[in-house]
Amino acid sequence: MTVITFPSTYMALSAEKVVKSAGLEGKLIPVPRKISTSCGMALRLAEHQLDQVLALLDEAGVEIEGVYELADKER
Amino acid sequence: MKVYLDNSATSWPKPEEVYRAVDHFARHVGANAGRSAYEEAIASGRVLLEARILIAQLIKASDPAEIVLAFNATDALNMAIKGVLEPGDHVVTTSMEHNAVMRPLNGVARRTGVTFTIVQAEPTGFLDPAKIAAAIKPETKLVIVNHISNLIGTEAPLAEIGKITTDKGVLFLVDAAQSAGNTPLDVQKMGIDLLAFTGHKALLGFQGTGGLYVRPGVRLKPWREGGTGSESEMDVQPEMMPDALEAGTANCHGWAGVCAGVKHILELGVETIQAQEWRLTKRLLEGLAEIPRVKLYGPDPSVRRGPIVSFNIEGMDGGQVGYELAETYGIMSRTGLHCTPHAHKTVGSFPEGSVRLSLSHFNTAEEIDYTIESIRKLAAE
Repeated sequence: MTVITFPSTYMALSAEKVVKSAGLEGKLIPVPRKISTSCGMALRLAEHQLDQVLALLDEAGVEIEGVYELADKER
Repeated sequence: MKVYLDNSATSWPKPEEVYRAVDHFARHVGANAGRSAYEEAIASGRVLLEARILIAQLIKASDPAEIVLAFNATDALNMAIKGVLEPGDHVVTTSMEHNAVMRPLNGVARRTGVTFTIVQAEPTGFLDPAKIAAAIKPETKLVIVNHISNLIGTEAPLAEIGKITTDKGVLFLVDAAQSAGNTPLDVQKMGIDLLAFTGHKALLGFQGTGGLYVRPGVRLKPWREGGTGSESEMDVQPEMMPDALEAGTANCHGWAGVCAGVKHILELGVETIQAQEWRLTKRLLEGLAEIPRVKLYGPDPSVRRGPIVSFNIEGMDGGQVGYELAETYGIMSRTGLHCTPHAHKTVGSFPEGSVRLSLSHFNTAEEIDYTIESIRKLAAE
């Protein structure tokens, strides 16, 4: 599972809007506690769309904190 | 007949979709924003994001993160004034300001030694930008101007003042409590650094909503500190906008209403609303101007302004006029000083105050004519 974390709720919600508006997969989920992050929400996405999502977020000025690859059971 | 002419206190009625949005939120969403990641909590967060996006669009801000959500315009003005000023700073403001500016400013001045100059407007409410320029000193940090007077509806020349403050490197704070939603605003073109608005007047939402536009690069000390749902391990307020200035639970259902209100405004167009309100306001001004004993304040009835009219009936107490209008004629107005003693002194209605009629685009020509006739009867008594 691929997740992106954000510095604020504002950025997480903005990311969701950008990704969904582009018709891509993106679901906000609680951040697993093993990841240290500023905001309690992370965006789960389809791994094969990661590059596309990162490019879209960058273009939209959405700041991200990190990208994590998690085994499904860590969710 | 019941006629609501107290829209500058709070607008009523609201568009149908505003009632529906608040009802929908209260029944089907309900959750708190920004603290959890189940669907309803995310939906609540989306409401706040949408509010920022819509308001940014309305006032032509470049980035929704610049829209800080607060609880009313007073909250936003305190946030700006107390967030910007340091001991030794000087402020330029005007004689048309509301107590929501004058009181925090005097409070800061008394506590920290900030000084300020009040630029006198003309008795018509007209504000000369050259006088603002002349009042700016080397230690001036901030200029504060009321966009639309809550007493007589006159509009301050924001673009001209914004050019002066931009040239002089001074911050420009606009009190848009009476203008956001019914008067075109462009924070970028007008050179505005900070703009305080309320959600429950011309934005057509409910009480308990307001906010502050903060131009990117302008840093404010936090005015309210507390939980944000972000950087929760830290004991201090996050620096990132908008969290830096937002703490505590937001009025989520209130913002659902503001979203619907702003959508209504954007669909109709601010210019259309302004034109509609001016048509009604002009009709009211011209009608009242013909009544003997009625004294109107502000410029000639032909001068366009916001939807606000102040008057007195010679020889009658304003409170009595307001009471009779409500009891006998069903017309809801506001009387007294309207929290703006300096503006009353400027236009010549201090200390007696005035009767204020304030309109929205939901008023009708029939209501205006009925109001003129009612005041005519009252003045003939």
